[in-house]
Amino acid sequence: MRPRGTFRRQIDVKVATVTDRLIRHVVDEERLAVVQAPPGSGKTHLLLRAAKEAYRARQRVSVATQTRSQADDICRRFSEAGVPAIRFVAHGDTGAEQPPGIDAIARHQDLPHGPCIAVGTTAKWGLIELADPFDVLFVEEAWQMAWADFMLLGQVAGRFVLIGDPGQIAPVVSIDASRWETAPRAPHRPAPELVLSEHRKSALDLSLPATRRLPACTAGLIRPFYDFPFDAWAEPGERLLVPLRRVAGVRGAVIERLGRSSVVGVTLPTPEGGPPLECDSEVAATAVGIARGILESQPDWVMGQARRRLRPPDIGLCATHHVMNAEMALHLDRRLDGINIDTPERWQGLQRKVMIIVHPLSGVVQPSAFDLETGRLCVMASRHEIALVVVTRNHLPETLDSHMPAAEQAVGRPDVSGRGHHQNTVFWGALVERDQVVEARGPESVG
Amino acid sequence: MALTADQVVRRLRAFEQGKPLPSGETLRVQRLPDEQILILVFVRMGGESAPWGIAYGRPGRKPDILTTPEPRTRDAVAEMVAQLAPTLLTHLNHPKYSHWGPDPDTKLPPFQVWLPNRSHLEMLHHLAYAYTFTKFGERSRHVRLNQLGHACGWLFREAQRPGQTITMAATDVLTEAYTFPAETTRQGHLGFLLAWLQTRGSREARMAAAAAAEEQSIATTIDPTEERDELVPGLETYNTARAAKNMPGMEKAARMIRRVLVEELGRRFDLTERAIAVLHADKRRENRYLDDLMEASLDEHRRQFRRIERQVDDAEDGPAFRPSPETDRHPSAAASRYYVSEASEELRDHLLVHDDRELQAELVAAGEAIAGRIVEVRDEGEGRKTIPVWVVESNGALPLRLREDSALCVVGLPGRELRIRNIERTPDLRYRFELQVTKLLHGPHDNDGSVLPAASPRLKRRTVVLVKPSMHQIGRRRSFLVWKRDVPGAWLTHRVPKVPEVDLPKEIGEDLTAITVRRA
Repeated sequence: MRPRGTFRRQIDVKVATVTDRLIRHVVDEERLAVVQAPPGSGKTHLLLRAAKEAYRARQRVSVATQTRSQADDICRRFSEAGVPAIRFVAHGDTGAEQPPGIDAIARHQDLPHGPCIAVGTTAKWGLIELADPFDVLFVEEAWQMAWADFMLLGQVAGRFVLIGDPGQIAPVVSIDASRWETAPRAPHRPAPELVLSEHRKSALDLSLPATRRLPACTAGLIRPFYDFPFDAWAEPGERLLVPLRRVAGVRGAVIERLGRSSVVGVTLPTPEGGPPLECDSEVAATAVGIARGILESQPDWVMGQARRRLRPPDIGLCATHHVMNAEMALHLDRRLDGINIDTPERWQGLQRKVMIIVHPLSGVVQPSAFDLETGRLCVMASRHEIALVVVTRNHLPETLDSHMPAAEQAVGRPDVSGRGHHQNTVFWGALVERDQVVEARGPESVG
Repeated sequence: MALTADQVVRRLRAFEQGKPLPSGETLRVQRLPDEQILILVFVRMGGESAPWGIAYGRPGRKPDILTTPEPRTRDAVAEMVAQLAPTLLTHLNHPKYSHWGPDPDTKLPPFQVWLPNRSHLEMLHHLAYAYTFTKFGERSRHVRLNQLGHACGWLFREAQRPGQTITMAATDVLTEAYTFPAETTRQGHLGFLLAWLQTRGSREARMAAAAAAEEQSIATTIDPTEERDELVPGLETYNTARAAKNMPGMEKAARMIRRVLVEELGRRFDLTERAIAVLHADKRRENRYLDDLMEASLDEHRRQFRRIERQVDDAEDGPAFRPSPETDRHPSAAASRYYVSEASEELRDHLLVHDDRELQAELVAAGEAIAGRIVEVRDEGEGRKTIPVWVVESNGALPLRLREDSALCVVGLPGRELRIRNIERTPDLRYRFELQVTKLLHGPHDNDGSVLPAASPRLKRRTVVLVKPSMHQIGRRRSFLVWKRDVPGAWLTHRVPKVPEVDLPKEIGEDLTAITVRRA
């Protein structure tokens, strides 16, 4: 057991060091910084601090986000911190209400020529021809940005700070990109990957030391998804669900195991003829049944000194397929009002006390390279602050065991499928090893 | 690639009926006159990438056939391929061969190149690798081979662009036009598909015919047993005679080899002709938006083939340079082509749906579109300003992937765009969408009265299908903007990277420095 307090002080010192180095780098007008961060480690907070200091140093600061909601969120947080900013919006969106201190501007010609902070999406910045470039560009969630999109940001500023989480969902590529697999600057690959491959020595290369969102045991579980070390700010065992009522059966077994560790797996038998395609009603009913069971146990959630009753809005459900999410929604009733259900793409940036997810490989008996890519699983497994329940058909370990992915990547490119296969195996294997997997006979056994 | 639920259902229906079923209400391939089509067929020796024989010609006419006795002799193969060049380059309107002259901006009629299946596409790629930068042999030949290499490279690259209408792999065209009751891997065989389509009788009869057709190779490779038993002995005889400088022996062996190759090529050519005939006999009409896709293909042909062959730089589409057959090493070229591909996919996916109810039904079933009834029309504008708002209700049992703020447009009237302001459930569990009409509020300029203004109360109770609008112009604009390199961040975003795979000898890779200099 590590000494309580000392460890957190060490993390705080490391975070302060990273923050100071980044601020000094930006204020001193250095050209390139890349910050890798595990989920829930305060990367947006770091971006806001550094951007504010650059603005105080009378620089023109631009911020590029990957979605409009991320841009809105950053503006809201600037507003709460009393930092004036500009929300660089799409034409037609100038009428939307902005928080105090935030101005909406749609035309790039109307952006101020003096020191300011302007926040817009990568798509917006990439479609204009800026006559008066900014001093520095911060890119939020940079690992979700394709290299081609980053090229278009070259006109926004001459200095760059890329901040993001490399374990999360890579840029969405809908076309056949095989022609560029061996290109020195493959346009579809995450921009920071290419930047670091060539500029690691000259760039300020930082990483945040710990996840603040996730419980200690989850941090250990998802660490294999990352290439850099990190810890959990939470001490082992300090985040708990404390049930007031006993619940029987599978739900009771799940709650009992959540008392030992933050992550529990639940398996359902795989039908003789194989699992259903795309929409698995039994798995959907099981996931909702577990949410209902947890609420019926009337638990308090405990995080350090804070203790409150767990309510439906504290719970999230997630599956990779829309049809599965729709199926889960059909099983909700009034008592579960407030539970949010969505895809991992939409869960990015959000968190709940408890998450119940359908494993991306549940029902997939012949996983493709896309299925084995762990970005979605990583997002799904890193949205909770206290507890995570992973529901799957029980073919999963056998599928991983019997399926050896072919190394189909282009020459010289990393074996993403092989790595994904290994990470998936390690993730599920860790749950089995810790005796954190509960076997359900079917949805009726969950209730 | 995994099947979608719709594809699974369609395939099960085809199994049930024991025959291929049409996919889509309309045909998504243009049926051009024979004189605008060139069929191109290859065979090669197992383990080799160079062709052993080539057949080419128009549908309905006897093909020209080229063969070489020994496909491992570089010079002989080059000599054979050079003979293909004038026909292919004329068909592709290469500036030096076109009947329409060299001006890249000349408006050209549509044309297509048909191949039996994807392995023949790969042969185009092999030819591009072999001849794009070759300096082998006498000058007039290697110039011609370079031109042919560029043409094959462009055809191969264009074949990867979604929605293109020029490079037609017959198996791809048929599997898009029909749903076959067979496993995906078997559907790469053209004979197999045609047997399913053209055999009369029961499911068993069709299946047996398809299985029999499958026995004969239609890929660029020849059946290994046939190659071993019928071609290798002739080849050995040829090489023995060549070593002995026995000309009559060589000629005899060459004739023996040619006879087998002609038969192989002829069968592949014949199957491709039949695939074209099947489509011509199909009673479905062509999707009326195919013309737009053909225009886009001809535009690509103008920009990426004719312009580059004429060495004319383009302010929007980049400098004229020969892309490497392997990849785009120049960062701007790679990003630009990537964006063009994205824009092309966007155009294809969002255009054809306007004229195909089956495609619309698929999108509705997937939750990507709305099929419903307008239950309320109101105008929230004040004074002369119009802000039309529709309330549409649809089946609440279907999944929904659309969100508030999503943009949609009206099927059949793509210019009329709407934005979802609110989504809720009615007490009877239907979806209820509140939508603001944002474009084409009054109707098109040439409105003959059939299009009502968006705020017209007469729209109430009408059924509508709403799909996502095409944003392809954005991708196109990005493909132009990404060439702009006089920007403050160019030191990071536009510099040619210093990695080993960039520095290739000029005979196998484009000159990146020259591209950068010309761009500047």
